[in-house]
Order: sequence, then structure tokens, then C-alpha cells
Amino acid sequence: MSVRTEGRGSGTEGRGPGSRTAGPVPAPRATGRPRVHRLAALVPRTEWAYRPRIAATAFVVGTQVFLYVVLWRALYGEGTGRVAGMDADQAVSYSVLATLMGTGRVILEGASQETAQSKIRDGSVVFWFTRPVSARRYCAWRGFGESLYATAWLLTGLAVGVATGLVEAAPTFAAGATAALSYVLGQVVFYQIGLLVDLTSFWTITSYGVTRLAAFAQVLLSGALIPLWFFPGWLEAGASHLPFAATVHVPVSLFTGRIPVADAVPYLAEQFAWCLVLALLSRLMWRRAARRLLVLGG
Amino acid sequence: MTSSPMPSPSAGLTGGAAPVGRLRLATVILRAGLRSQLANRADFAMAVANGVTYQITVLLFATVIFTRFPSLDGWGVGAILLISSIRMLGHGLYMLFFGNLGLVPHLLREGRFDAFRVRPVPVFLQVCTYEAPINALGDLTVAAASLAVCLSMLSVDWTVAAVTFLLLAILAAMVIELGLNLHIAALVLRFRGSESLFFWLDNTAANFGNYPLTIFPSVLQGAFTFAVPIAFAGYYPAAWLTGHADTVPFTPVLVFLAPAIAALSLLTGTWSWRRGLAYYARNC
Repeated sequence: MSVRTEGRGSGTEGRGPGSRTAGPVPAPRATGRPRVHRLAALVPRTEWAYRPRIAATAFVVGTQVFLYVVLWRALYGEGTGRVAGMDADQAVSYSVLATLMGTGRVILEGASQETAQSKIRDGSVVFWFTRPVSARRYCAWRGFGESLYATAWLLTGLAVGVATGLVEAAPTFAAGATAALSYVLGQVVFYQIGLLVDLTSFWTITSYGVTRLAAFAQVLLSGALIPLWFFPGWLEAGASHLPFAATVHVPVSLFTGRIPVADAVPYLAEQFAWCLVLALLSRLMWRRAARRLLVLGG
Repeated sequence: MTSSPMPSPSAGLTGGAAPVGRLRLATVILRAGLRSQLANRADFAMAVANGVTYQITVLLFATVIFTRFPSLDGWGVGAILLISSIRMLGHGLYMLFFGNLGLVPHLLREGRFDAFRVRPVPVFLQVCTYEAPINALGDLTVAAASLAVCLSMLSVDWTVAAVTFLLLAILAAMVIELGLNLHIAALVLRFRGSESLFFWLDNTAANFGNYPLTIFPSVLQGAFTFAVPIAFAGYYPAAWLTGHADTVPFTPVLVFLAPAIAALSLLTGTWSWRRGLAYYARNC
């Protein structure tokens, strides 16, 4: 592989959007650690740069939550019966939280254009491998920021949901704390799944098909659209052990009390195991991807 | 083509070359697009599969709801499947011919949209032929299968009038989706970053357009009838075909209005798209 760092892109990469200096870009300090944590602000700052996105996200998330709430209430009707072990209030709470977690993520997907898929298409993926920060760390910090931003939307929605009575607060403090821990593990799994899908572009160049197929699996098997409890027994048993379930189904079920805190340990252990397995897989893929790097148009 | 005068940047759906020439041009561009997508056969196959899987998600959602909550306001499984079949066929046709409208934000970001504006072919045509719509093949496959299943479950007397009504309803569903997406594309031209509205419309129609409208509270019945008329892209025509016309909200006349709503949606959508293009030409 031959890499050219001259030409287009050179000299502009690394400057902030507000940079107006006409002089040469100061060289990074030879000593001291690079301030990589600032990469976490990449996604929130991109969103802020296109403010209509924030208004559109609020509209989309708000109306989606409202529609699902109306649908579940209509389906349960006036009765207070339980369906698949969930009563009407639990189903509505589950739906609100799952929609907040799922929809927010779908909207954010690829919004910053900092994905291998888009970078390979325009050739700028080369900068991932020429910076003082490794590509793996760069993506991890960016993903961390994306996760924090999505969490801010979730917490806002949760606060509004609890205040308006749409979401029942977690039955006990322990349930809330366990759900929070499970959510953090779920975010790690979520990032790793997205990363693995994105890294396939190093082999396939265009990976829209893979991305969309993964999005399908994510929506269906994570419980973001339908609580997994409502699936037929065999499908629920299979889906609940896949990594997708770790992202939405487990934390939301813990929060709504559908999984009692006393039974939480195996679920958390499974989430943790997925974090490890996927992290190992992505590490392996990073190594192979770097060896296979093909720069188009760079 | 090269010697024809350059159209104004606001040339909308009808500007540019003669209709026959435009059709030929669209075919040539689409063929080239198809070839370029076939370059990566695995991705091509997955794109087709994606259309199938997405519609399966929608059907599974409806099936799960139906299995768990059997009573949906007096509508049987076959009748409800007819609502979703009309909507899905309309959606598949929309994706096949106009689905690239959803790529407008991507085209804007990559600067390709600006190139479209200086070519002597309507911008709309260039957008619609930018990429071969592979997903639509999957969408249409599932929609056709769903229609076949529901027809076998329904005991409708398929007279010439009923078949014509069904075909008109499918076309209306396609045009309604086109009209609504033109509104969103116009908004995207005006407000960068509002592209999640494409996702919103798709998701809302797919997950809430498949049920009898009467299961929703009146505020949503009004919204899906008068504001975002997705109920005309499935529910109202299906109500007439399955003998539920007297149960529809507001007035039974609505069951016949899908073509009129489609025409209105297209007219306002086209107007909105032209305004969006003009705004873009002035300000960007």
C-alpha cells in the first residue's frame, strides 16, 4: 500500500471548524499526551453545526414515542390483563424506553460521516492511519461521544416520560441501578456491533447491504420495535441470547421490572461476555483491516 | 441534448428535455447504475435481501400484535393484511421509481446535487436515476407475496370494478408517498440536517399505516387522514374492498377519495419541491 498525505485534505485535517489562523499549523507537542478525549465531542459538535438536525430529532423521537404509546394503549384497551407477562403500564414504559434508545441511535447512525464506509469512498480513510492517534482509539473516542449524546436524549426523554406518567419509574433503587449498569454494557455492545459492520467496508468497499441487514437485525432482535417477550417462545429464546438483545431488551426489561433484580446476574454476565467477545473480534478485524487498506481517490 | 438551452436552476419535475427523450435518458442512466452496483455482487444481493427483511420486520410486527391481541375492531387477519399489502405495493413502486429522493441529503453533502443543477436535464430526473433502486425489488417481492396470501384468505368478489379499484388504490399509495417525500426533500433543501424526517415518514407509515384507523384515538385518526394522509395509502381503500366502509371515521365517502388525495399530495409536493429548489438556488 502506498500512502500519499499531500494534496487535498493536507493542512486542513486537524483544524477545528472555527480555526481562522492564516499562519502555519503549530506542530503537536513532542512531549505530553495528545488530548484524544476531545474526539468525544466530535458527534455532538457535528449535530450542533446542523441545528435543524436537533429540532428534527426532537420531532421524530417525540412523535414516535407518542405513536407507540397510543398503539400499545389501544391494543391493551381498557383491560388490566397481562400479555406475555407484561401489563399495560409495563408495555408502555418498555415501548417508550426502547423507542428512545432505538430511534435516537438510528438517527445518529453515520450522521457525522466519520464511518469507514464513507471515508473509504472519498479516500480520506488514509488520515485514520497517519494521525498520532491510532484508528482504533480514534473510533472508540468518537463512539464514546456518540453514546454520551444518545444518552443525553434518553435521559431527557426519560425525565419527560416519568414527569408525564408515561414511564413508570424503576420499581426499586436496585432495579434502577442494575438497569443503568446494564445500559452501559449495552452501549459497549452496540458500539462493537456497529464497528464490526463498518469495518467490513475494508473488504467489500461498499457495505450498504451489510449495514442495512445489520440494522434490520438490530431493530428486530434488540426489542427496539417489539418487546422480545411478545415473540413466540422459540424465537424469544434464541433472540434473547444474541448480542442485539444486550443493547435494548435487557436494560429496558430490568428497568421496567420484567426481569427482577434477583435474576439479573446471568443477564449482566451474558452482556459482559458479549462485550469481551465482540471487542476481541473487532481488535482482530482492525489488524487485518489496516493491512488491507485500499485508498480510493486519496 | 448537449445543444439544448440550459434550464433555470429551479427546473422541477417537468423542465428539460422532451418526455420521450427523458425516458430514454432515464433508462440509459439506470442501466449504467445497475451495472455499477453489480460490480460488488455480494452487496447487491444483500441490498435485495434488505428490502425483503425490512418488509418482513413490518409483517412480523403486525403478526406478533395480531397473535397477542386478536381483536382489532372487527377486522380479520386477511382484511388487515390487505391494508398492509396495498401500502407495501405502493411503497415498493415508490421505491422503484422515486426512492432516490431519500438520497438528496447525501447528494447535497457530497456536492453532487450542485452538479445536477447545471446540467440540461431536470434535477428530479437526475435524482431519481442516480442509483439503481435495488432495495425496491425486495420490497415488491414481499408485497406481492403478502397480497397473494391475503387474497387467498379473503372472500371478496373480484369484479372488474373491484380489481380496477385495487389497482387505483396501489397507484394512489405510491403517489401519496411521493407527494409526502417531495415535501420532506424540499424541507431538506431549505434546512440542512432535517433528513431524519425521511426515516420518520417511512417508519410511521410502515408501523402505523397497517391497522384499522379506528383503533387509534380521534386525534390520530384526524392526523392520518387530513395532515399526513397515510390512511388513504391502505386503510380507506381496503375498508371498501372488505365491506368495512360503514365503520370508517368521519364519512364513508373517504373510502373513494384515495386518487383525489394522491393528486392533491402530488400537486402540493411538486409545488413544495420547486420552492425548495428555488430557495436552494438563491441561498446556497
